[in-house]
Amino acid sequence: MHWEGNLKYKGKTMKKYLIAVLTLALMLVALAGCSSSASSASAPAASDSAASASAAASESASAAASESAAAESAAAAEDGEFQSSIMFCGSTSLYPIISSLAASFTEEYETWDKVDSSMPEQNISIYVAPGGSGVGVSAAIDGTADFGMLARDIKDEEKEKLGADYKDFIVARDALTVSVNAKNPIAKSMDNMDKETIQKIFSGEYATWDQVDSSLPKETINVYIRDLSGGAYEVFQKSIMGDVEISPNATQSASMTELATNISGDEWGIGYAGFGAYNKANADGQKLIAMKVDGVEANEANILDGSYIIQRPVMFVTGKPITASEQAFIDYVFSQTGFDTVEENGYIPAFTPAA
Amino acid sequence: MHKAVDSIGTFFVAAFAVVALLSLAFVVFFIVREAVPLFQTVSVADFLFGTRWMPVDFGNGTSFGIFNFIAATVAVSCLALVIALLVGVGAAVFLASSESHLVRSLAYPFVDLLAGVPSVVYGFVGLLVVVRLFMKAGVTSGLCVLGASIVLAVMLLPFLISACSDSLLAERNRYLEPALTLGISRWSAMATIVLPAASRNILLSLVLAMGRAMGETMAVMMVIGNANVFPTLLGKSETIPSVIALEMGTAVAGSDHYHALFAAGMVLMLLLLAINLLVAFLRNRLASSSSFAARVGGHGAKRFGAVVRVWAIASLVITFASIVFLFGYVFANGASTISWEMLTQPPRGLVLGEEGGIAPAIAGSLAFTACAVVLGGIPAIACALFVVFYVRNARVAGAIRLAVQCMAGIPSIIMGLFAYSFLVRDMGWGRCVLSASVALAVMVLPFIEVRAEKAFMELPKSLVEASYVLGCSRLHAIRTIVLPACQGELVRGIILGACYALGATAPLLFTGGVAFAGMPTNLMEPAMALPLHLYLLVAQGTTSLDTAFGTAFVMMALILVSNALATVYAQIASREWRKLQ
Repeated sequence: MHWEGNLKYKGKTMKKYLIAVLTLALMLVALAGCSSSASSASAPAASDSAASASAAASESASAAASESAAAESAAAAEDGEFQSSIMFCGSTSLYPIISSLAASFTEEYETWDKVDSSMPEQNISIYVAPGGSGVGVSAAIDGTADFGMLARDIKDEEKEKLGADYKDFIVARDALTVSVNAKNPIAKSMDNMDKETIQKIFSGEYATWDQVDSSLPKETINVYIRDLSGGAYEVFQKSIMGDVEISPNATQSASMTELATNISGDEWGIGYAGFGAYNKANADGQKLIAMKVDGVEANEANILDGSYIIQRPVMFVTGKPITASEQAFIDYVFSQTGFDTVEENGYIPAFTPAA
Repeated sequence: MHKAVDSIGTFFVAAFAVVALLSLAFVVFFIVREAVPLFQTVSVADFLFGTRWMPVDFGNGTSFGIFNFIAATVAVSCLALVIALLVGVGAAVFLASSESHLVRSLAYPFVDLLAGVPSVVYGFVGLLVVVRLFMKAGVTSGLCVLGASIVLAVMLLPFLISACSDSLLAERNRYLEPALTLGISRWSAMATIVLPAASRNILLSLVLAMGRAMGETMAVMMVIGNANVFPTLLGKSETIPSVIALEMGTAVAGSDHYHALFAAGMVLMLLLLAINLLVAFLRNRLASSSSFAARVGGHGAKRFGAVVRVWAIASLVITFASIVFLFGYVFANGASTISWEMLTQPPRGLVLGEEGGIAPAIAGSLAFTACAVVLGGIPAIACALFVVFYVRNARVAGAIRLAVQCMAGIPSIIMGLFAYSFLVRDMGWGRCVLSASVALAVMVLPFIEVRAEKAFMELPKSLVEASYVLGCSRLHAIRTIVLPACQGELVRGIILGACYALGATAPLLFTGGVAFAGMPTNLMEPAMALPLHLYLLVAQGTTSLDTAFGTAFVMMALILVSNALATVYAQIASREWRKLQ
């Protein structure tokens, strides 16, 4: 009797393992099927209570839902189905501006019909994801965002990938100042640095301040830069450094504000703080002093007319046709409110507000 | 009828356990898939031993050498472990030697609070406190390897203390009484008998903590300085997770840079796998040598005991002081910004965040956490049930445990990368709460599984075996005996897992967390989250740190309250259960 029971038990164990293996196989098939066909992806429409079902079932269920929804929403723009949510993604320089505008737009209007009575009464949803200029462009290219935000010029191959419907909207201009700490005695003896000097400082060829100007003490030059693959780094490299590499000893900061804070905390620091961050840092007393570059001062006039060479556009781009709701928000961005927001965040607006 | 129900139940448990293990396989598969294309253009040797990391071609060509990053990751982790070891073991010795059960039952949850603090808050406080201290001490900009190690050491303390406590307690119960009756003083006994007896387990937990240390992303990134140089104590450096987090956003998808970042993540995972295998191997090897000789006696032992006593008390004081300081600092600075407006209003202002509040971030965080706990907790508990009650073969059980430990070691940024590559891009889900929740679920799964397994193992086997003898099916036994008995610990584990998910930033960065969104209304749209909001505020350095402190305050308050509730519930539930017996 005992071993008979044992055999039955073994049979159950076998069945159980078989079931487990079948589940496994089912999931693999579902996923293999889905990953090959999901190339036309845009975010699927509002979905089911995926969280309540088991993870396995929900993966295949929403994968199936996303397949049909992706095809649906791809056609939606042409069909005229109203797009009530807009997704921006990208540059760490532009997202605070767009976020602020999205917040005030949503608060002012709440539903699309209040913006324009021809639009349906649907809630306004604008999402702004940070991540960096690179992520912004690739999100616009593969459709996971409606607009990609950049803080640099767009590359030709990126423009090509975005397609024939490519449009760019330049919101602001940002300049990179070459700033030293206000306590640095160099500010007393010179207010201008030529390109070559800047190159030598940032590459590490000048390692101590006395090499720049013999009246200065022999203190190590602490160079502050932005992260290696970001837009700011690239702009500085292209406009000043050329072929010369920046020293690997330079400290990378994740944002302009962090960079400015680092320089203001370090008497012997130097870095390319953004124009806006520079102004913000000096809001309560002079903490940073910007050097002229090749004789050109970093001020609004010189930036806008292009004579100050270390500058970059701050913009958003898209590769698909603009819908009515998107146009409404874009008009808002380029309005007086947008102008004020850009200025308040420390950038120079690249447009005159529509009346 | 019962047989059918039992089969279905067994099926579900097995299915969810398989899901749990499969997720590990998926993560590894996707990371490897995105990493391998790099090696078509860069050789493995150049990648591992090269020191030049230039991801964008500015005229001198690109170069992907991660030697400095590997060195920094290992250096920061080792240094942090040494510091955490000195303080953690001392504190654990003190707590284990204490006669009072009450002290222990209060102290362990208190120390566990440290484990609940989000890594971005550690980075935030580290920036404001540790970095400023170093700046005053003369280190330029204050960012350095030593600072990062100190912050990381505080993060590791709770893990080390709880891991050491178990073995120290066991050895203490075995050896302390006999030692005392032999006339050996308490502290010399702890130092010369209990500690060496537990040393093997302490070593093993140290190696496991190494995995945790190497995967840490946010806190280290905010304090270490991020420069591609070989790590020196007071110099800056950059760890692998920092590189991935900093540059993933700007790498063009499909480029060599993109593949290189995944490859760096893969190297990190391989290192962690090697460590876990080492632990498993050592465990088997050292299991045989459980006997040891202790030399006791004489004045030397007394003096030694006195030194140990001082060390243990000092360590405990340092540990408690860090906890109190951490919470106190955030609460003191954040309390003034907390208002009803802050908790219920969306952010406003020309510079966003200047006015208004953080309501969408709070709601978003709760949404992420709830989804993560459901998606991750169910497979975790099922996996624990599977391993403890269904698996007969010890080797299979050991393999499953190893897999779970490997999962625990995967850095959270890599979970985020996996979700980004698989869900956001391949599956077309886009940036949404669900994508991020899956990443969080995979991160939280091993956390909950380990605790659930521990709870199930602690249940007296006789109870379950008696039920089998009486004819109950396994599912029935689980349903009516195991789960109710362990519900306190299970709920505690789930809540702790939820706190862990609440504080995670890295998995949200590219998957579903955004800088701005309205209140979350459905799972397929992105949402704001508290830790991401804090990180962005710190990185952007908005007008003042007030909002940042307020965000940190809300997070820490949520964690404190849920931890307290969980602990109290666990105590009550276990007492109730004991009464029933």
